[in-house]
Order: sequence, then C-alpha cells, then structure tokens
Amino acid sequence: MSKKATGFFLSVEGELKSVGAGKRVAVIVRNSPFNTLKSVEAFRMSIGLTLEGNQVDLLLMEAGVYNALPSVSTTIKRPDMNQFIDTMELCGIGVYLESEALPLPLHSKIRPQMTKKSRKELMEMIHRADVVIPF
Amino acid sequence: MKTFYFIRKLKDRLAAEVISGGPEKGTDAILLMHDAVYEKWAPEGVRIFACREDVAARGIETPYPAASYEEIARMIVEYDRTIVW
Repeated sequence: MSKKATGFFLSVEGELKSVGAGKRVAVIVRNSPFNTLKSVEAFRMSIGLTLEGNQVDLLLMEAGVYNALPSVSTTIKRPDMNQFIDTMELCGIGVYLESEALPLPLHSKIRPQMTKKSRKELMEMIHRADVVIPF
Repeated sequence: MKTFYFIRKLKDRLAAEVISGGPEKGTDAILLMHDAVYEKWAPEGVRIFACREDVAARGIETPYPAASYEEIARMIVEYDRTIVW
C-alpha cells in the first residue's frame, strides 16, 4: 500500500506550501480564553494539523467567541494568544466567529484576522467538514 | 456523510443542533456516554445507544440499547466520521 507524501515544501516563489492529506477540518472552540486551557490547545492543535496538508478552519462558537477579542494574556501568566493567532494566519487557517454569540458592542473590537459568520453558516461548515474536533 | 456522534454532557445545545440539522440523519447514530446517559433524546431518524458501563456506573435505566466498549469501537470503524461532543 502506497502512502501519499505529506508536509511542507518551499515553492519556487519562496513560499511555504503544504501538500498531503488534504482533509477539511473544523476545530470548534466553545470556551472563553482564560478559564481553561482548551482554547489555547485548540489553537495549538489547529496549527499542527496544517503540517499534514489539511485545510483547517477554526470556529469560535458560544463562549469561544471571546477569543476573537484582543487580549494581553501574558499579564496573568497565560500563553500568548497573539502568537498563536499570528501563526494561524501564516498557516492559512481561517478563523470564524459566531456573530450572534458576541454582544454587539464588542463587534468593533474583533481581531482583524477573524471573520464573522452566522450560526447557520457555521453549522453548514460543520456538516461539510471531513473531520470535526470540538474543544 | 454517515456520522457517529458521541455526547458526553447534559444539555449540549450545540451538539443537539448539529445533529438535528445534519443532512443525512437517516444514517447517523448517537452514543450517549458519561453524564449524557441521563438524557432523554428524541431526534428524528437517528439511532441512539447508551454506553453500557456509564449507565451501570450511575445505577440508572435507559430506554436506549446498551453498547459495550467493543461495540462502540466497531461502530467507530463502520461510520465515515466520528464527532465527540
């Protein structure tokens, strides 16, 4: 049985590109950023999943939408969320948040790397995904 | 896509919404485990099982067919994807 090669390669244009497994993965974050380590673990794992050439989407739902707001997590000695979010952008991970779950006054504060979608649209993404990983 | 859902918590609204809105409900199945064995689920067109060990550990009775760990492992292989809520 032959196994398809997976991983990263440097294109002739000098860009880091991935090849391989190519599954559509939806990672769902349902918890706010600081009460548990679940959100950070979801971010870390999403980045790891891109190493196998998967197309990863991170869906912030329910209390997970608060991960979309800028934070200074190092103030309370927690992992630096900004580092993860910058790396996710570099890895081509789409980050989407459930528009209805975030109070309206906070919508103007959403990080620029993140896209608002309705709960219905996120449900459709979950149904289309080959792999769904709720945190 | 034929999906096998694991439900572990009580009153998981998001999981319920995903399952009831699934495009291929006729082929999907739910396994209730941990505290979710207390639940009374009635989504249409979805087979429901309860983890035998978790039901026994809580000393309750459930209207759903019991599934042993071996049966659960077999179902994971049979279905196209498994989602653990």
